[in-house]
Amino acid sequence: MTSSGEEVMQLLAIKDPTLSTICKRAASNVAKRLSALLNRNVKYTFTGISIIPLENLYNAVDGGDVYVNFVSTLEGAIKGLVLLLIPYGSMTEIMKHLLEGLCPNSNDREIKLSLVQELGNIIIGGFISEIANYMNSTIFYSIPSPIIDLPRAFLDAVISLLAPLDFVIMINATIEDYTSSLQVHIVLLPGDGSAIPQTGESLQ
Amino acid sequence: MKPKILIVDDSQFTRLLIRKCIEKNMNAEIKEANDGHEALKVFKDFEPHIVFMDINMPKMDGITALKKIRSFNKDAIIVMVTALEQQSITRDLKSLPNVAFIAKPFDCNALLNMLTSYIKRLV
Repeated sequence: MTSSGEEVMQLLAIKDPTLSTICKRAASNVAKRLSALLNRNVKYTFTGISIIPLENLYNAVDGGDVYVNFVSTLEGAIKGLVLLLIPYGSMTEIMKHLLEGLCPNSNDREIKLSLVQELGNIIIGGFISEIANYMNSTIFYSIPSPIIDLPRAFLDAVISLLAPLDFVIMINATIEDYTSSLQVHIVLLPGDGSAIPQTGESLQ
Repeated sequence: MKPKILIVDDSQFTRLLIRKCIEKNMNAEIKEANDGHEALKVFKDFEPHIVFMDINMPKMDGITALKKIRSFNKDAIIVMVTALEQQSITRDLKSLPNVAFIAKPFDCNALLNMLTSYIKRLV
């Protein structure tokens, strides 16, 4: 293990309980929001958090499936990017359910795109708001842009835009209702001057 | 009185959701705007009784739009409908008169209750 790898392992030991607490609260917040949107009981379970080397990010998301990938820029107490990756098939199921209730015969592409964007906004907003409230700070995020692609292609495009980055924070969650269960990945890529460090300090 | 309502959100889906919720339950005149900048223009022409305003929008965010509307109409009733539920942001705005918050995704009944209570005050 390299010295920076050891630093990260130490960091994980310090930060993991704090980050886990935030994530559990955020997951509960998102579950409440999704239940309201879908008008049915949705369980949103936080399944794990890890700080992983950037190169391992590719293996941490499922390789072969197409995802709806969102990217949003963070400003304020946390700077950087937040990514949200949702399996495409699951997303289309959620959309079908929502559009049936709202406009059953809708083939309107704009409405569908708007709905996808709003789902990303609600999930990212739930997480980011919970982190901001926990830190008693403000974090602004840009309107999430959805990109439908294989995770690897999406990550390549996003990471090529960033300054060199060693580690990322990966949060995994499961959304479950009566009929389906889906894995959601949220990735925080801290930028310079972020309160979430790239390799050092504690979260608070 | 037929209430005049302005819905401001960059999400067409959310605008549709709010419109359907209101139209199902009351007779209202509704106009929409896509961002804060457009909201200012529509507000001046339409003079709505109540505005439902998103915060996170392109061109002009909802907080800036709220402040600009208040600069020429200090009594405007503005309900912020937002996924950005950060206490550091909402704390100051909540202290303003005639400003309320509803979290996204909103509950239609909660939105209607809020709308009805404001309309009663206007009559």
